[in-house]
Amino acid sequence: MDNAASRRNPDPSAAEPERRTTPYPFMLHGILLCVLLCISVVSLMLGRISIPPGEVIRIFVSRFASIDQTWPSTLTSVIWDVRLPRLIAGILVGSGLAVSGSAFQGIFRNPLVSPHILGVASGAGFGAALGILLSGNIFVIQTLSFVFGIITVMLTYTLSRTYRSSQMLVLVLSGIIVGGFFSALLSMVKYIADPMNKMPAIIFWLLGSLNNVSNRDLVVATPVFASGIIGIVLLRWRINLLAMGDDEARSLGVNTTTIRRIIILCATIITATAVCISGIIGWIGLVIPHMGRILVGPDHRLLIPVSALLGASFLVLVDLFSRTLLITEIPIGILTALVGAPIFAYLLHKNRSGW
Amino acid sequence: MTPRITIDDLCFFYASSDEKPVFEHLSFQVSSGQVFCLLGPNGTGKSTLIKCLSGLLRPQQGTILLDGDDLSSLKPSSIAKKVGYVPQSQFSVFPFLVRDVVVMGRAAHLNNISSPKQRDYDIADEAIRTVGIAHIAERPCNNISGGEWQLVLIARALTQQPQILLLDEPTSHLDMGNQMRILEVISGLSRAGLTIIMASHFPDHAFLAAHQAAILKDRQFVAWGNPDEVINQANLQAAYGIDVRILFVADGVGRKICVPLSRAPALPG
Repeated sequence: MDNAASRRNPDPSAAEPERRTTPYPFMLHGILLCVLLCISVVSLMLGRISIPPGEVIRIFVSRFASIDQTWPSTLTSVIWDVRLPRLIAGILVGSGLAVSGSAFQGIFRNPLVSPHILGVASGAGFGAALGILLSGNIFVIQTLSFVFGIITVMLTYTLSRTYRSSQMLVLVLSGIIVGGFFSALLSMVKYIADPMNKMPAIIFWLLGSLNNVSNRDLVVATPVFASGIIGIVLLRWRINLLAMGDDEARSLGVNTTTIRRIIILCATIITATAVCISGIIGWIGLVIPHMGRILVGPDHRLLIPVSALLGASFLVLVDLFSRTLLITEIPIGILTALVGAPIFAYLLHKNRSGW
Repeated sequence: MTPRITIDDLCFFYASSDEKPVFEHLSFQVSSGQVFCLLGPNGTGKSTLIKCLSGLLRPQQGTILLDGDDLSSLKPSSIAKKVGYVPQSQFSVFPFLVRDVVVMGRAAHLNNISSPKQRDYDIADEAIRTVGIAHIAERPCNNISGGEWQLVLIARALTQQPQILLLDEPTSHLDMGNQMRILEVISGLSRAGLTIIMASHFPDHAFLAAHQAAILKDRQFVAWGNPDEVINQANLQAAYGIDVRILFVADGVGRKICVPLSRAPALPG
């Protein structure tokens, strides 16, 4: 028995673990922030009219200080009314979807989950299609889209609560059930829509685009995105705990039901808002968390902020391609899938050993 | 000694099955610094009982008192400050670092929007040294052996700074070297004053590390008390349905061991 004690405390010099808290990767954050900044400036420069970088900066400065205007005033409008709102929307939607995806992959303990897993895209898509069918007014479309997105997730959540065991699995199954139902309703709306103008409008909307985002949308959407993202960022360490499984997290003293509900709520308002201003943009919420884990590992304290930066850069870049690659704009949902699927395949191949 | 945990007339059944309860009318106490070893055949409800004691499952009848406080009246975070639960080993989906897994034991001591600070890491490091896994503290937790993972889970429970430690089959799937290492850690912790309740498949483990043992079978304790009295031929035969011999090994061992024999002596041939 007395050698039990010595075995528990072997040579103290060897046993002394190096003391530290997890170092925060400021360097990496700095780099990612610079990347996002560069992509943003480039995205403001390029488009149907190219604007040199110096001009872009001067147009910005002119807002806040009086300098001589050396550029045609249409350029001011191109920057302020067209490209900047689109850039901001790209940053918000990209970071929001990536953060929601990381949080969902954590709480569902499954790296193959995307923020759409609970059916929010089907619901919001149906809402938008219904709005297009009934009125075509952008406000109606966006409101219905948001409302139905939220309703879908509430239905999914309520349905899952009727079963007692293995909550997360049942939640995913409920998401498939409710999502499938709303997909059917969406098909129904497409089927009865006027094929000359309403149906193409629905289809284009569903393919996703940052083209229709106005400054007015952003005034409403920004605080919603911000509150959802901040909610998840504040709970980021608790996501680690939930990722260990429900019983373990509860035995560690975590109120798992409440925390999970808050995270689902935050992710849902982010995703529903994203769908309602930009249509259905897939793959970001699935692929970006994987990229993040390769950079900083699975700890959500680091993964959530890094996902936000990566997601924003990724979507702004893809949007830049979507509007510059061809003469007509390519719907962004198509491009994120075209780019995301091969990236995901590559990551799977590279990361065979684990997440 | 006053009991640290008192179980009185405990009864539990799963809501989905309207059949018999898993166990009923269980009563026992465990005092500070004691190791209570829960034995019994597979599927007899050992894990269910441990989960009731950790507050994960709510018994339909009976009371569990922790230092006189009714468990059902405590919040999860209050329970977690008193009771550390080491689940049956299940590897983590994500490869968190060992130290980051151990520091999760601080959850009950931190509010929902806080992350662990240096002080919490210090407590985690102390637990890491106590169970002797300092050399793997920086490794991803799915890149270690089963025995090491079990020690990580024990260290995480110690980081909760509990008075009671519940272990659900801490030695299952481990080779005999690792089994002994885990039992040594458990004995050390009980000497340091921790009250320990563990489920086990090995009656030998009760001889090795426990002050009390109980055998759960058919919803009841077949026996409860001192391991020397509880673990005898008749009780083990009744519990496991095979013939068993209890031998005392004197030479350099000085303790009893269990030897399971083939089925029943009545078999022809």
